[in-house]
Amino acid sequence: MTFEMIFDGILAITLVWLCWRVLSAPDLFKAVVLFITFGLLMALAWVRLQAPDIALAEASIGAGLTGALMLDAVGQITGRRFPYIRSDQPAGEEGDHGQP
Amino acid sequence: MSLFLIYALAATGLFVICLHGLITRAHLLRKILALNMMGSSVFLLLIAIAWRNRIDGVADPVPQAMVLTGIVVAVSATAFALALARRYHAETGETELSDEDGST
Amino acid sequence: MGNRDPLTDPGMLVRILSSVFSVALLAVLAFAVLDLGDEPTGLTSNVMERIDESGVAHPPTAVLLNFRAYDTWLEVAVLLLAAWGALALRQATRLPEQPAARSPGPVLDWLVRILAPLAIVTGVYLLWRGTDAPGGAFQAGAVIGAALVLLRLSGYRSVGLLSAFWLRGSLLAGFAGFLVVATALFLAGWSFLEYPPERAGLLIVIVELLITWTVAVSFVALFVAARPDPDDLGEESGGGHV
Repeated sequence: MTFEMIFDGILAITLVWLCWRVLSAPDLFKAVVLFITFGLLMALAWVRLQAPDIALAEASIGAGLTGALMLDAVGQITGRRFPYIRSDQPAGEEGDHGQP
Repeated sequence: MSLFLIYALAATGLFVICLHGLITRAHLLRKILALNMMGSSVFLLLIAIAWRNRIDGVADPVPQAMVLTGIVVAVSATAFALALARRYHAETGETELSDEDGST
Repeated sequence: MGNRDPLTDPGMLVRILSSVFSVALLAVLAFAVLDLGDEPTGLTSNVMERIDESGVAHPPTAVLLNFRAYDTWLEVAVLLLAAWGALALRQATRLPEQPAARSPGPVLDWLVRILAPLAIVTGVYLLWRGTDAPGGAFQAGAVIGAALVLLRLSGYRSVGLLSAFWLRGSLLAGFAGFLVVATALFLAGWSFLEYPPERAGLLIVIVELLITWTVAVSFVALFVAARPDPDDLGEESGGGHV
């Protein structure tokens, strides 16, 4: 039982746990954030399995692009916007501005 | 317990969880997430097998190349599914597919 | 959801049946994995034997663009179909510009001015290195596409400037490049999608360049076309972008 083994075991268990959380988290926005985390950890798993090409592709495509697409879709469907983009609508109830 | 077994078993677990999620979750975005992760689990199994078949420290490049194309196909399919789901939402205001018979 | 009795609540019944099925499937799959045995099989030795003929030194790139170029070619076709389908859902022939109201704040603006060129340079580097190290057309295209999406989200004009003709051309470039190279070599006496070893490196770089651009533009198209803003839709179906 080497250090690498323990690392791989923890990574594999975290992947499975994250997958479960993505599908069961009540908040869809949170599910998508967990999904992006899942993609990044998957890239780590691919580095471990000697597939750096796929790790690069996963980090940019799987986590990056798919995550952005998902966030955008959640923003539209649940009415929540990207938090870091100034919306053209007046500040929403979830805004970080103080009480008026 | 080898590296291969750890990741291959994780891949089977991921596949089954995603299949369960795909069946039981009604929200369309959740279904798309489940499908995407299901693809990832298959890729994980393929890459674990490629690692197992390595010779002189070089992992089998054929499954790796296939997974690379698979990732791009997966994101295309996901993006197209999202475009469909969002159009559906814009037209009907629904986030779940309704059954005409009302059976489920 | 108050009803939790599986006999009367069909949703609950589906959950239970699905759980039972999933556990059974998990057992079968786990058994299949454990039963794989220790004999290494696969194509590693075949690839390593002939990698000198492929024109590139990195095994996955050699498989992707030479040995299994057919798969890659059709995969580019899938990307083309997805991007075209998403654009068709919007009835768009061009990527509409981001509305001006979404202008970024000073911090985002500063960050984008640094990040976007950096990402594009990284993408080109990934493409260049792809022949003998991890990297290649798809990773490069994804990074460049991400830079273009970033530019777009912060209100800069990039792919929106492409006319309908150039947008279609960009989406088609990778697929068409493969086809032209393959057909030309076919007419010169090689079999379809087979490269002559001494010219393979150059041909692969040309095809990779086209694929990179196609991947980048397709990702932006997929990202943009996925947003059915009601005003945009009205504007779109009104026809004619000027």
